[in-house]
Order: sequence, then C-alpha cells, then structure tokens
Amino acid sequence: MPPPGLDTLKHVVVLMMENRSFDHMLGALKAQDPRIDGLTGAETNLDTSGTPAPVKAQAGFQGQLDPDPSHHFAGVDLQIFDGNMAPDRVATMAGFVKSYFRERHDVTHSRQIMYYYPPTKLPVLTTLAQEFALFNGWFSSIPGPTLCNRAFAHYGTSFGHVDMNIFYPNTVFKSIYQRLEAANPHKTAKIYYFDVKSSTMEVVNLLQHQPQFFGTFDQFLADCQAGTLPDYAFIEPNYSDHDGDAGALLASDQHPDHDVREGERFIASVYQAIKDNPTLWASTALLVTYDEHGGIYDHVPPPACTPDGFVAQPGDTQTGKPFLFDRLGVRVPAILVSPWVQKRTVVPGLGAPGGRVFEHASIPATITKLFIGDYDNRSVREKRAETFLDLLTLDQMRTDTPDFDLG
Amino acid sequence: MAVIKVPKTPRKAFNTHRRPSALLLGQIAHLEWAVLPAAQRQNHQPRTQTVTTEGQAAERVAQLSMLVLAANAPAAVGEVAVAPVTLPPLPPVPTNPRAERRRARSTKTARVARRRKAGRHTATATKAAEKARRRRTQR
Repeated sequence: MPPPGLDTLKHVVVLMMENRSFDHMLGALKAQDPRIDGLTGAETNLDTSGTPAPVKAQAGFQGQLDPDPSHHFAGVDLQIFDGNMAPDRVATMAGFVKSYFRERHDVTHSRQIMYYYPPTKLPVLTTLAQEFALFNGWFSSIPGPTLCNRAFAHYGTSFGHVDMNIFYPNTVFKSIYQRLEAANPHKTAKIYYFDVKSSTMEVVNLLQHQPQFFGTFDQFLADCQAGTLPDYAFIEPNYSDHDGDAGALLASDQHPDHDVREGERFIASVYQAIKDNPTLWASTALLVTYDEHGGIYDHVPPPACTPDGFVAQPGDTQTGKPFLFDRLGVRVPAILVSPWVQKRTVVPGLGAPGGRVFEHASIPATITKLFIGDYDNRSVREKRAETFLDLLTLDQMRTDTPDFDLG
Repeated sequence: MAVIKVPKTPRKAFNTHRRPSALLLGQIAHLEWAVLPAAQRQNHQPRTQTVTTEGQAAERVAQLSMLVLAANAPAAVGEVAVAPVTLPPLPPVPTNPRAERRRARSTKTARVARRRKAGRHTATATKAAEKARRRRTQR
C-alpha cells in the first residue's frame, strides 16, 4: 500500500529557473548541515595568472555576472575538464575562472565566478531546502545551454542537440504533455509562461502545434485559487524586464545579470499560491529546480550516464569531438516541496551511501510513472532516470510548514 | 512556524535597456522560425533581425508569440491555402524615463550645472582667485 502522501497526490508542479549552480545558491548550507554536499570554503580554481581563486560568500544580487558566463558546450567542457582534451581525461571542475576570463579578459572580475550566496541572502530558497527535500545529486542533463537542457524536462531527450538550435523536426518521442493528453484515463497538463512578453522557451514544437497546453502565470494563480490546477503543471519565470499593464515587471528567472531577489519572490509566490489553497496543498508536490548552472562554479564533477542513442557532431559541440550524451551537465539546485515530505530531508548524491543521481529526464520519468504507468516509447535516458515521489514518506501531513510574506 | 518576510526587489534593478541575453535572442530566433510557413523556412536557420535592448526583445517576443498563436488557432472550414508571411518590423526600443534621466544627469553639462547649484563650482573659483592673490602679494 502506498504511503498516504503518494496516495492523495493529484498534482505535480515543476518550476524551472535559469542558470545557477548548486554551490552558488545552496553551497553555504553545508556549514549548517554537514549532510548537504556544499562548500567547505577551501575550494579553489586557478585564475589565468596562476593564482588560486577561492570560493567566497560574496555573491551579489546583480552586477557581478555581466557579461553572461559561457554555458555553451565548449565553455562548459573547459569548466569541467580545465582544457584537458586527452581521451582518458578526468573531470576536475578546475576551469571555471579561466572560462569566465575569456568573457572580459579581466583577471579580478573572472574570480567572481567562484562567489556564492550566504543563506541570509536567499531566505526563500534556503528555507525550502531546509524545510523539505534537498537533492545533493541533481544534475543538468547536458553540459550545455538552456534549450537542450529544458528539452530533457519535456521530452526526456534533446534529440541529439547540445546547443540552442533546437527545432525538433520529426521528433520521435512525444512530449510529456502529449503523453498525458493521450493517456487513458485522460490527464491534463499545462505550461504556464509568465506573460506574452516573456512567452515560452518551448516554442517550435509545442507553442506552435499545441497551443492548448499553454497558459499565463496569472492563470496559474487563478487555477490554484479555484482548485482547477491540471494534473501536471510546468512553470516558466519571467525572462525579461519589461513593462506590463500594472507597470514595471522585473525578470524573475535569475538568469545573470537579472536580480536574484525577484526570482526569490517568484519562487515564494508559486509556493504560496499552492499553499493558500488547503485542498491543493495536501494533494500537490512542487519541484523547484534550475535548467543549468550558467557557467557558475560547482565542485561536484558530473557523472557518466546512460547514452540516449543520439550523437552530437564535432561541429555542434565546437570541441573538435563528438558527444555521445554519456555524461551529465553541472549540478543544479533541486528541492521537492510537499507537506508529506519529512522536514530536513537530504537526498544523498554521488559517492554517499544510498546515493542517487537525478537529472531533468527524471521529470517526465516521474510524471509518466505517476499518471500513466507503463509507457515504452521514450528515450533510454528517461527510462533509466531516477524518479522522486518516493520522498513523500510521511504517514501524517505536516502542519509546521513555513509561509512567506511577499509584502 | 513564523512567517518569513521576503524583501522587495529595489526598483533600480529594473533596466529595459540592458543588452539582451543569448537566451532572449535564441527565443526570438525560434519564434521567427515558427511564424514562417514551412515553405519559407531555410534549413532551420532563422533570419534574426537584431534587437538591441531587453525591453525591445520583450516587445518582439510578444509580437511574434501572438502571431504564432493566431496562425495556429483552429482554421475556418474550407480554409486551406497558406499565404506567404513577411516578418513584421522590429518594435521600437521602449523608452525608459528613469534611464533617460540617469543618462542626462551623467553628461558633463549636467555635472557642471549640479556643481554650480551646490555652490562647489563657485567655491573652487573663489579659492583659486585667493591663491593667485596671495602669490602676487608674496612676490
């Protein structure tokens, strides 16, 4: 018999933010809880003058990561392998400062890529991490940029792409939204983008052909209030500063160089919208994660993984080598929120006893397992991906969960 | 459990004149590709007109998203022909009154005017004249 939390689960909501690494956002929590695989304070990278650049709790809300750190495939390869191209190379996570130096040719500035936030600067994310389940081993799916990583969250693969040119012609696998719509019994799914000026990053294959899967963030708030949330909801933050009907709207995606505080507020507003409806709160699991690390330092080398059968050619990787999709990307923050999750759960990661490795293909894998069951026509990566709803272990719903006041 | 207050983001963080990120440019490229009928697309390589600011990128994203949604709305009965599509011109760069004011404040003329207003300019001039008078006296 499944635990009561899983038995009552009716909705899963995924909020995917932009471009921040685990250590950058949550690495400081290791000092408060040694089970968290964060920073000891002794981690360094050499800068281009050969001087060690240590990690420092000096990350600013805005202004330090301009220009945008490289997170294209070749840049991430340099960050992970420090320029070593030998066949038997080992991931050292020692090339972040060198990679960022290439953006501005300023040694002092390049060292800021090692900066991380003290927990007091991120009250929302660190509270959720300490109140619910924090994953020590959630990695982006590809050592590359946004779109191919987001594709794994929707399709369980990027169809061989490691770059931003994803137009998905002749896709062989259905998106999670199409699978749910076709399921028997029928399930509902929606991608909520912030507004039409921010729109979605899933344009070609979804917005173009399946506009019925889309809604705005205002509609998400209304659906939460009315209790009409679909079975599965994927939320996209605001990707740009722009004027809206009610005035200035700040980007909330936390993509450098957007102000991280607005992303904090956005995460809190999603959480609070669910929590303010008691019926919804009892029957919903919320996963907060990031699409990729955005070129920012993390100390855990990404592990090898099951190849998904696609090959990216050297011209696409721009490293002179093909990529077989046999290694994950850099680690990102991931938190599972539900009143049925034990307080202060830390899901062990690589190398720890009982360690588990998650990636974005874990999202469609989990949704498929929960709402559809057996489903064969999907990527090998997704079939092998860990699922995460076994973390809803409690026999009784918690009543001590936090609230956020957005003022 | 205590309620956690989430601080407001300062208004100065808002900047529609920021350079658009590669992410926004990629999003626009995808939307431009999606707006065109299949026959007009070339090797999946979209032609991107360059937006110069984040505010303009947002306007462009809205303009193209609405076209994509309109083009894919359920077709009327009997409507099958696909007309050629021309991408709309870029929307203008939205003005940002605060940024304009900031820019204006940082021009040399404005700086001098501010100094004069604060009396610093006059004070400096007076000090220099006094110094010259003393030098003349010493001679």
